Amino acid sequence: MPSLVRDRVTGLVLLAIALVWSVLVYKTIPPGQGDGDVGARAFPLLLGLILAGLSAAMVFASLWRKSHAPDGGRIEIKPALERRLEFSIVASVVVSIIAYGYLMQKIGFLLATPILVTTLMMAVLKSRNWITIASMAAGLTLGCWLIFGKLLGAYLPRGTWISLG
Amino acid sequence: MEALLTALSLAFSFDALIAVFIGTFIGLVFGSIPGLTFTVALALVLPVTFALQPATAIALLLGTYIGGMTGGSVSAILLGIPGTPSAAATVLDGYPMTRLGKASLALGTAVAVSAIGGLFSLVVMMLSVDFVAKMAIRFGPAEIFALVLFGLSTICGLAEKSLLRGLIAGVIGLMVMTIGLDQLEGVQRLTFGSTTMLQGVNLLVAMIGLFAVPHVISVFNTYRLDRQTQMQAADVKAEFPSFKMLKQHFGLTMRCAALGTGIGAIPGTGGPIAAFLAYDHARRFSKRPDSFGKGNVEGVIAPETANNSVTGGTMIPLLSLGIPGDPATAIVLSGLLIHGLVPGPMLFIEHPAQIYAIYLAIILAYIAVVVIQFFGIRMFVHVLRIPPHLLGVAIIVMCGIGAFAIRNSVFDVYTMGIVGLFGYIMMRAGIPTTPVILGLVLGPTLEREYRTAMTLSEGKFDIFYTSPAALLFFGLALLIVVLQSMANLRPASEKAALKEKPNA
Repeated sequence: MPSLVRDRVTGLVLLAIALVWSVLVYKTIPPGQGDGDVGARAFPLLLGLILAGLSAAMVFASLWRKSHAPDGGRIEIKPALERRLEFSIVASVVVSIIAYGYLMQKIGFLLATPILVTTLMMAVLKSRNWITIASMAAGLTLGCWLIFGKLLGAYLPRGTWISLG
Repeated sequence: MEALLTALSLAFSFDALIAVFIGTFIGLVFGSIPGLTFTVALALVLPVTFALQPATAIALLLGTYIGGMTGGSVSAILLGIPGTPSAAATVLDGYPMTRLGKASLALGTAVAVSAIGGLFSLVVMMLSVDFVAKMAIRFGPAEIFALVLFGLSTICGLAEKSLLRGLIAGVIGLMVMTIGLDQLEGVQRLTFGSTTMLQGVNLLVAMIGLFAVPHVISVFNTYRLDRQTQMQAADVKAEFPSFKMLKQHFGLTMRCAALGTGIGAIPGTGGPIAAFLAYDHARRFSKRPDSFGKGNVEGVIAPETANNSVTGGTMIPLLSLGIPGDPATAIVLSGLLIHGLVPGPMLFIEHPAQIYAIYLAIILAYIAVVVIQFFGIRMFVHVLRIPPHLLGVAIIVMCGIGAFAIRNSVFDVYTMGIVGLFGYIMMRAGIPTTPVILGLVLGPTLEREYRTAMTLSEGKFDIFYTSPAALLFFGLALLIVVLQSMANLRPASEKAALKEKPNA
């Protein structure tokens, strides 16, 4: 496990986030008036500084462990193929979710859902079995429409470009 | 009496009964599939409850919670893979029983003792929750701040491997909840002028994103790497244990039920700890300790009784103080809040009928667990054969619908996707997500009560250290932090001792 390098990178990223957060909070949120008025700035600022402290501790801990590790903190790195695959799956899933939200608004739930399911099946799972893809797309769309839309009465978007449902 | 009658009419309404059964079924399905925790099920069910009446919504959530806690034993016994962390101890003797051809008896015993343990903890909860709530009614902002701080100290218990990472996760949760309109002064905080950001990050959207999305990504990744375990579960039925056998192990069942309830009442502990402690207790006091791990039914009775007794135990701080003990009860807490039921002392005064309805829903959920498991266990065997990557696709669709349904806002779907991405990055960086949820749930109360207390005391800190109740909670919080830090340090010192004595 690449724990030491991972900890150092994580710690540094979090430290940067904490510092940017603290500066933004300090510059954009007004302080309290004193005499018991803590104000809206105190908590987020304190939390930003605490995160900075904890992140710094994480970085120092990883440096300390490296100098004390018998193998000098040797790391195992995943094969490049596995890393690329993982990245492509993460990106595809997150982009699909965001695109699903956009499409639901524009073409409605009944068209956006089979598009999402087909995309996930083909692009992420690399499925080429059309029977499985079609039955998943139709089954999930119809099932969710019946359960959420009809049985539970939840509002499912109908679309502004194409209105269905 | 009037409240009880109202509760009966609420809990036994057609909608509530159906909701309990559907919730229990969903919980059992999610609990029984390894990797699909019932916390994911609760996060997905929560948005559905918006359209329901409060009693029906709570029945659905409690059914899912209780069904999920019980469902973990199915795959633990049949496949040797725990469906939930709480069922990990059940594997030790449940799976060997399956290999000995006693899968039906193991499943039946697990269902029976789960119901006994759950109902035992319910009785304890009913007796104690009112008492705790009556004490809490005298609490002011300083005491509530100390209490919430105590609740947050349980991050140490939820931090998994590293206290430092747990604290980082907790602080991230607290930070995220400060985004949006400040609840006391109406000041915009880190909204960047966006009106959609004024309401901040929705708690439920964050929960769906943090729990469901990283899980699905992991499932897809495992599938693409061809590392998926082929589920092969034998065709079985649930065989109810004989009365003689239950009577024979009655003492063990009651001891484990008491242990589970006690552990559950301590926020931040939960089912896995209770189950392993109970298993260890059963082995120590067994007449045949050598048979443990080889298919001893006591090794199923102890963890299954204990992990289900946790459900009633966790409800004590949840209902009386508004402190969730684990991620699942944090989601149940969100469900209560959505429907205007604010846990704490006033809940018992303002909504006594709803409290009784909650008790009845728990009883009904256990009845549903027994009925569904005994009559539908073969169906769960089929559920275990559904490929997880196809379930992953279904979960993504439900996440999208769930996030949208919360406020009918596409912005929440985008937020859910981004939170899911952060959740996955955190998971890969070894930062636990559960403390983030604790921070998200308790953060607003922590800040509000602290600021109110400081306003009342005109900026003097003596409001915190002159209150015995506040001091008690500060002390408890400190105790938990110290105990957990010692537990974290112990393995290092043990390793050092082993190095010094290579022959040890």
